[in-house]
Order: sequence, then C-alpha cells, then structure tokens
Amino acid sequence: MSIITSLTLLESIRLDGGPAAWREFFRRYGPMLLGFARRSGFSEADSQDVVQEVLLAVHKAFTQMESPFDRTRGKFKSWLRGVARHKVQDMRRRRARQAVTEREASLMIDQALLDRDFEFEWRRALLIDCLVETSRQIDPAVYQAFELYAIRGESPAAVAKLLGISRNAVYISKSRVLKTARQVLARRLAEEG
Amino acid sequence: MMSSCPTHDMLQRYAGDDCESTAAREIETHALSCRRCAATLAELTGRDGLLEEFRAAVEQADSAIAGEVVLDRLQRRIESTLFGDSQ
Ligand SMILES: [Zn+2]
Repeated sequence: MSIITSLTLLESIRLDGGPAAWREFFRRYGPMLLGFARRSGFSEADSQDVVQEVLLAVHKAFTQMESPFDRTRGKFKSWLRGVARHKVQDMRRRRARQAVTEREASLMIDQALLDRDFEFEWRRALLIDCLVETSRQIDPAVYQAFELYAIRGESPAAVAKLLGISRNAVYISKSRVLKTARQVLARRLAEEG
Repeated sequence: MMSSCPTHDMLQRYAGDDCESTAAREIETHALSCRRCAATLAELTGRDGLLEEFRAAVEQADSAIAGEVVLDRLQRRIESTLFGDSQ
C-alpha cells in the first residue's frame, strides 16, 4: 500500500469530494481534531460538534472554491488550524452566552493557547503517521521487534523468543527503525514547510 | 567488515543518525554478533528524544482505541450530512 501524502489526499477531495476520499481524510484528521476540541474543555457532545463543523467547512471549501488556501506546500496546516480555532471560538461564544458563572465565561481563552493545543495534536498524529510509514519500509520482524521492545518496553529476551530472532537483533532494531523514522519525519516536516 | 568493536564515538554517531550508510551497515552487522555493542546501542537510543515522543504518541493512540466507536459514529454523522444517507 502506498502512502498517501496529505497533499494528494487534499487534491482527491477537491477533485471528486466523494465518500472514499473523505473517509481517508477523516481517518487522518478526525482523531487529532477531536483531541484538539476536547482540550478546549467542551463537553464530549460539543467537542464532536466542533469537529463536525470544522470538517463541513473543509469539505465546503474544497468542493466549492477554486483555491481555499495558498496551495504552496505547507499552507494546509495553518489553514486548517485557522478553521479549527475559529470553530472552537464560535462554540465558546455560544456557550458563553449561556454561561451562568464567571468561570464558564473564562473559557474564552486566547489564541496562543489554542494554537499550542493544535500543534500538540498535529504533532502526535504526524508521529503515528511516521511510524506507520516506517513500518512499511522496514522488514516486518525488525519493525515488530522495535515496537515491542523500544516502544512497549517488553524485555529483549521475550521479544527475541516471540519473533524467533537473536537478542542482538532486538537491540539493533531500536536504532535501525529510529534511523528510518527520523528520515520519514524529516521528509514529512519538509513537506509541511 | 569490522572485526574489532567500533569506538563509543562511532556508536554514538550511529545512534544519533550521524554516520554514512556504509559505516552504519558495518556497525549493524558487527552488533548482530557482539552483545556489548548491541547493548550499548540500545542504551544510547534509550535516551532518544524522538523515541520518547513516539512512546507517548503510541500510548495515547492505544488509549484512543476505546474512543474509536465515538469516531466511527462521528464519521457516519458527518458523512450523512455531506452525502445523504444513501451511502
Ligand atoms: Zn562490539
């Protein structure tokens, strides 16, 4: 399976806008947007509403506009961040009007804080993407050894036995996979701009 | 082919992804049969900042698996808004 870069993904949404492209888009950005909305302290229902509003706005922009954001590489992230921030602030305004206490009204926090939350969720989603891409570039046993030993903290002996490889190979999987992952991450960051 | 152990500095550069690919392959081949170097490499990368980040991200993703039902439902809701219920 080839890796879909976010730009090709965006392109396919713009061109056909259909459910398949959309589902892939949701898979990639849905969880991080939900994480972002939850960080803003909304109820679960409100957080999901925010995600829905962001994604409807993205869809509308992509299917109706010629060029929703500057299409040079790297601009999608800041465009999406702007849309997400705007929807969070909309929701806050709605909730603030209904707010009965000062504390609830103080949910209206500043933009810098929202940007920081967005960055956090974005980075986390990017790291998971990098691991998935890395796992496809590497011998499956080596990647599994890395995940079990380096990520999940299983003992080298147990991992070696489970995968039928030497304990040294388990040790080395850590640096080998990290090396590839670092390259994948660097490329993805360069694509983001 | 490397017969004696690479220097600590070489191992460190390998772990930090700062060595060219021929040297990297030699170090890997050597460490396959040298417990000491393999363990040193594992220890050097154990303090890797990126690895720490990966661990945290995977941990979060693991705990989010329980939230997948939520995401599924949300996805269906958005899809039916976008494309109708015929999907
Ligand atoms: Zn050695």
